[in-house]
Amino acid sequence: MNRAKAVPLRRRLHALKRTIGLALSLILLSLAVPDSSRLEAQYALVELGGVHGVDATDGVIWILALGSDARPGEPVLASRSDAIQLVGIDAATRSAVTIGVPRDSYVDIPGYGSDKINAAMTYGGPAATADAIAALTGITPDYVFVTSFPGLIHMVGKINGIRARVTYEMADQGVTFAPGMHKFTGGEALKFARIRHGLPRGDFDRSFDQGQLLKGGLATVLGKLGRPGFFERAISHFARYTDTNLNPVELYRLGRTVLEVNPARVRVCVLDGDVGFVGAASVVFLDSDAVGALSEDVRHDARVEGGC
Amino acid sequence: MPGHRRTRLPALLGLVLFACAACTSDADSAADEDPATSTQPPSAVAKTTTSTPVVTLRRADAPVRIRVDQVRGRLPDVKQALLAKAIAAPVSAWFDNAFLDVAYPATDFTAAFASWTPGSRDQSHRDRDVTTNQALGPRLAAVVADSRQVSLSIFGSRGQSGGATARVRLELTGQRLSGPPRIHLKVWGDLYLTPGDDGWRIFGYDLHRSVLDR
Repeated sequence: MNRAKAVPLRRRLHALKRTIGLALSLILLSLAVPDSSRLEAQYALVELGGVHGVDATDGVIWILALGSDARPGEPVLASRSDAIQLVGIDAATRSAVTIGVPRDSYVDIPGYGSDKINAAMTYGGPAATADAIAALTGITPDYVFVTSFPGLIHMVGKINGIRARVTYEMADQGVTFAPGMHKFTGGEALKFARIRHGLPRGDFDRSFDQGQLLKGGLATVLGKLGRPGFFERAISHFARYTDTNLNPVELYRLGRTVLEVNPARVRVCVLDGDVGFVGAASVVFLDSDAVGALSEDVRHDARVEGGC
Repeated sequence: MPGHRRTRLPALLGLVLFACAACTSDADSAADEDPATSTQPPSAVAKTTTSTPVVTLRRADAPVRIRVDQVRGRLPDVKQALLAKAIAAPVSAWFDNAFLDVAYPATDFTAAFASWTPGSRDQSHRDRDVTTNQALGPRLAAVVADSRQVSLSIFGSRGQSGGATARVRLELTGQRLSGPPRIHLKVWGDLYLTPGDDGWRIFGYDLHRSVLDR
């Protein structure tokens, strides 16, 4: 009954809408047809432009990002590094490259002999890892950041999660991630960065996922940058949950420089090699020719021309 | 019905676009007119560019409004108002050097970046159509600020100022040398600043610009 009554009402409303639409059209048309008696033109948007940039005189900046696997009570800066990512940024071209170093890579650690690169931080802190990276790639990191498991969880949580691409199906540590883009909580981001069981190339793929997390984190932060004060909030949390050799001014400028990078111009690479043994220890023997070629390729512009 | 919406919307949009196009055609052509390629007689061009224009736009510039939006981390023990004033000083200087304190008609805006870091000047100079009034300068007799707003978000750590974002909004009215008498310019966006030995300096930007003619 009610429905039967509602039909004419809808028709009347529809007719009213049509009338209003027609009236609106006529009004717009009256504005559209130039009136010879009207001397004053309407306002018109004739130009619109946007630009952005930062002081990029430093050239390519190299950042060594380390994830310490310190357990509660252990010193973050003197524990093994679970994640090792060398990140090159060129603000002038808005390009970046992340070079993942598998944690089991058997390398020379200057002053300490040869060992897995993740042991370098236990020998001489972040500086020893930076030295090992420099000896390996010929690229000396300008800045070193170290965060811990809780640090990563807090940082990601404080910006309400980050989005990153999952390459391979993952089912480990109580989580399952299907291939594709995911929004990770802090805890999920940590697991995504740590899972290697079930990945086709184990530690190599895990290192690749860590690079994807950095790339996704950049895109996530950029997407929120329009909110007033977001950058200051994010950099404040970053300062709180990382150890770095930067002063606050350097950190602020570096943060703004990183955010000049276009995520579409971020290339995620992993140093390649083969799994082998030193004694009973399973290690990765890096392909020194490939490492040298990639390092030379990206050294001056953080852009990968020859593949990785 | 959805079908009606689909068919009506493009028609309305078409009308709106037609309306905008018709209304703005005169203004567009006037605004884009370059004295060098003007259709005016050469004598008329010479007259407007060589004689001193009569300035009729004489009201006072709107004051600079500074506001602190957010403070993150531990800042030095100074009064926030003083810190805000120090951070806003190079922003205000940029407003002046790039837009307001310029002898119009003007083609030289090289002083615009006095309050920027040396490394940022080249890039901002390349973007001078937005970071200065270069694009309109030669066609204006005078400008006046209708609005100058600076909202600050400040970062500090360990009792030291690390940097700040100044969200800016500058609105100007310009008096044109020829064509429609008034033109309205709006520049808005973010400036990034850090402190140094000689005070705060702008080292980066994300700026937008629009021009309204009438």
